[in-house]
Amino acid sequence: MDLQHISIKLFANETDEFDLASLIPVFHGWIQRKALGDLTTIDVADYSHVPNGPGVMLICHEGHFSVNTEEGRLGVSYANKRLATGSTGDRLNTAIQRVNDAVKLLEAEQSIDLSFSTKEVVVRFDDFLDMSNESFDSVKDDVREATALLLGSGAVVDQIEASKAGLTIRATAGEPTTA
Amino acid sequence: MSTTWKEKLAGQMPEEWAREIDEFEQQMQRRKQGTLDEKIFAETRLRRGVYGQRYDNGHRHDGIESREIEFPSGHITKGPETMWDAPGMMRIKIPWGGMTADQLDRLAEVADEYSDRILHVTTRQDFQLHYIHIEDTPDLMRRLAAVGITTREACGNVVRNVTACPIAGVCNTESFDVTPYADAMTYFLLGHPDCQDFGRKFKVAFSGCADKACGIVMMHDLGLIARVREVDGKQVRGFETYVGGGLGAVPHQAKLFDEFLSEEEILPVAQAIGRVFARLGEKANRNRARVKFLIAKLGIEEFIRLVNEERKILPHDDRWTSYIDGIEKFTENPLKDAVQLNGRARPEGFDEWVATNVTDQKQAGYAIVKLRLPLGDLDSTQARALANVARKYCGDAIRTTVEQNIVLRWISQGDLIDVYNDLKAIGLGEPGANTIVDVTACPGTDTCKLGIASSRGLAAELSNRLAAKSATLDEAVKGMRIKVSGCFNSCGQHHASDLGFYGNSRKVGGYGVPHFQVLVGGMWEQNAGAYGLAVGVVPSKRIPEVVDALTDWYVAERQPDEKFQAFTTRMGKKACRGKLEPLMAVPSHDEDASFYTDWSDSREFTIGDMGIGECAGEVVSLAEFELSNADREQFEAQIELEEGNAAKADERAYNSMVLAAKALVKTQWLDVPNEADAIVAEFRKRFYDTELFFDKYAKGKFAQYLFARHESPNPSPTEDTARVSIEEAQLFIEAAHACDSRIAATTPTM
Repeated sequence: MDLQHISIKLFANETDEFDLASLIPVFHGWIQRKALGDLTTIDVADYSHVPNGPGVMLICHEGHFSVNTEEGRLGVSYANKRLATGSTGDRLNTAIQRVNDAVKLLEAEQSIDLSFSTKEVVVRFDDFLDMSNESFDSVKDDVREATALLLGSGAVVDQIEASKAGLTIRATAGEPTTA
Repeated sequence: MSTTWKEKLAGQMPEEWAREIDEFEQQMQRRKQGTLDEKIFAETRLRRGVYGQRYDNGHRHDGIESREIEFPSGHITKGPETMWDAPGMMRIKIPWGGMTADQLDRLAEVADEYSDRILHVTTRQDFQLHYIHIEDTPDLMRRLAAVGITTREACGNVVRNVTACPIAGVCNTESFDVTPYADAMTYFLLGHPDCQDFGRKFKVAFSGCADKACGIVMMHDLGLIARVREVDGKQVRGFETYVGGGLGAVPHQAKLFDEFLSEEEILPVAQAIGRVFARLGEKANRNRARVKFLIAKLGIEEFIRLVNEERKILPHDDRWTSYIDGIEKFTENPLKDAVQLNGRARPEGFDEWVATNVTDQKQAGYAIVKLRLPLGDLDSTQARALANVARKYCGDAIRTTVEQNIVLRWISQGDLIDVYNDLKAIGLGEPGANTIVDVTACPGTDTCKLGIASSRGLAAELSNRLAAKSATLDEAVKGMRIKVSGCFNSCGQHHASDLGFYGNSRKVGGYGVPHFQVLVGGMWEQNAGAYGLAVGVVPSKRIPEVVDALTDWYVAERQPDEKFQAFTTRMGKKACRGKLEPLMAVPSHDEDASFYTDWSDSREFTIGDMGIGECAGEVVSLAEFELSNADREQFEAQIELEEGNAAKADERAYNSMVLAAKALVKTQWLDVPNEADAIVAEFRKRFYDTELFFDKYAKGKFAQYLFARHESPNPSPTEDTARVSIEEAQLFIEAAHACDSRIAATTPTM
């Protein structure tokens, strides 16, 4: 099993309407000052016109960052695309670390007012050859362990019903939320 | 469990398609090992739909400086100046726009795994996925092939996706359903040996009728309009057939090839055209290699003669007519019974949506539902949900459109409220399909290597502004169309719309400023029956004001039932330009720096991502003054054409090129003589031979327009030839502006 396409989403605390276009100069700024360290940054993509879509994206060779409103909730995502190595847990850890780095950068930005909750993480596996909606049991422990970085130990993991989409798992710090 | 997609999908793909994908994967390996030339590999991958994307040369201007993108695979290339690791675009052919719910699901799946979750509908009814690594493409192709989709010949010098009216078969005005014919043409020409040696691409379109725009056949290399004729008391099907149309940098209206080509003859004649094009079409200069240039060179009568001669000697092929027996299989069966919309309470927004997005089918009780996709985009979640909506109400009756939308056919009238509610819930229930708010745009600088200005950024801005005031827009304005291209290559089909825009740049005080050329007088109806002409260049940030100024003027002074195209023709280009002139000025960088960035892009604007910082300066250069004279002369040429003076129009178009050439020469030699011979000779020596005039992609293409006209003046210009001269002059002058900008960018000023 070579899971490359793991995506992680954290949700914003703000519930008011947020202007996604304000992320365009922010992401260009990250590219200019190499804010993401060793990641190979490529470009900024604006999909803010797509309702509940991928929002504004920062495209990197390794994966894509986005501030989006997918599933109707504002949040920040990292979707790995390639170069993941190690065990499933290692790969989850790397993806979570990257989204956490993005959170810190976004929360430090002066031009926007965004903060993110560390009580809930959504993990999605878009490796359709190896993973399906029946694969939940094979990865739930890895997800619980990896999300401990953000949620603390003992996170509750639930599968989100997502017909035909990649296996999607919600991890929460407290009681499981209703899917 | 399968370890690869190849294993998992074995036996599920057409054998030939599976073999071709394996071969492509092997060629990828050979290229990585260095045993396959990069140019050959580039054409190979293009023919598989694997296209390049902006910055794939490994350089990007980040707004401060040009920087190298350090891809892990180092300097391995997948084509000239195209880095192996650079993300690319995958173009996916959807013949005549027809697709099934399962295919839509599969597209969503591969978009999630390999792309950025966005499915983009193109102006050729294709889908495009962006930011894809080349090493993912063989599996992506296999997964699509397993549901009957091929990417073969989606790009490259081959027959591109065959397009057709998205409402074929359900349209009230069609002669008959062209779907089976478009399908037969698609698979007959796909990989056909007679279509593998073209100098350029070849585009085919079918339309069910002459008056509506859906098929836009007049802008195609081969366009076919359905006709029925009575022969010996029987109704016989055939096609009014046109050849040599095309947009691109220099648009041509197609010429009549045959008033009635029978259904038995369309495939062999297309094959014969392919042979003539392959044999006689330009190969060395790709800028003159489309069929339109061959026809212009030979004359339409000679072209027809050659094709008919070729047709006579073609070896017989059963496929020419065997498809006709299978036409019935394209008949769609509705999923639901035809029920009229009853007296149910109508949700908010429903009536507005019905007014623009719903059309009655010719089959009583059924409707066509148009989905307005902003900028042609939907994401994977929407795509899956849409597939389920289709399964619930109309089965596989889904089609993409050349206006970057999707239509659902065979919706029972009685289901319209439920369909609206379901579409609204997934963000696809917005009204305004095929109206002024439904702006078409090519990818432009977002992802295209050739983009000069942000066509998508402008289109989104215009769409948002117009949608916000749609309730107060005049009905005549609502019915207009806007189309935007990021450069002169016309992928946004800017010539065939009421208001067209294409991107270019100007230098102001030493800074680059994104601009758009404004075109009026184009016509979407009558299968793109007229092309717009340029009336002036306006800074990108002022284009929304241009739209307001022109539409307000139209509302105030139009005659009853007068369309915008007829209105601008009546008013004249000079008056149109007069409306733009107050909007052409650019404030200085200090006054308003926003003019020096593009829509949806906060970086300081540069052309071609050249990456060399521009020095500030507040003076207008000599070249800019001189080039403005060329602009003016070129515009006067348009006025002459409008007044029916083809010869004068041709002469002034030529003069405008000479003035532009002189402007450049003057930057090196102030005392250049005023004679055309001397100017052209000096221009050739100083700017063409030295390649100073060359840009990265067009090279010296536009200089050839000047040289050709200077060396071989047309003794008797017609309206058609004068129009071409004006278009060529426009492009030459634009190239001169770009050349001046490039030179200034590399020359320090005070």
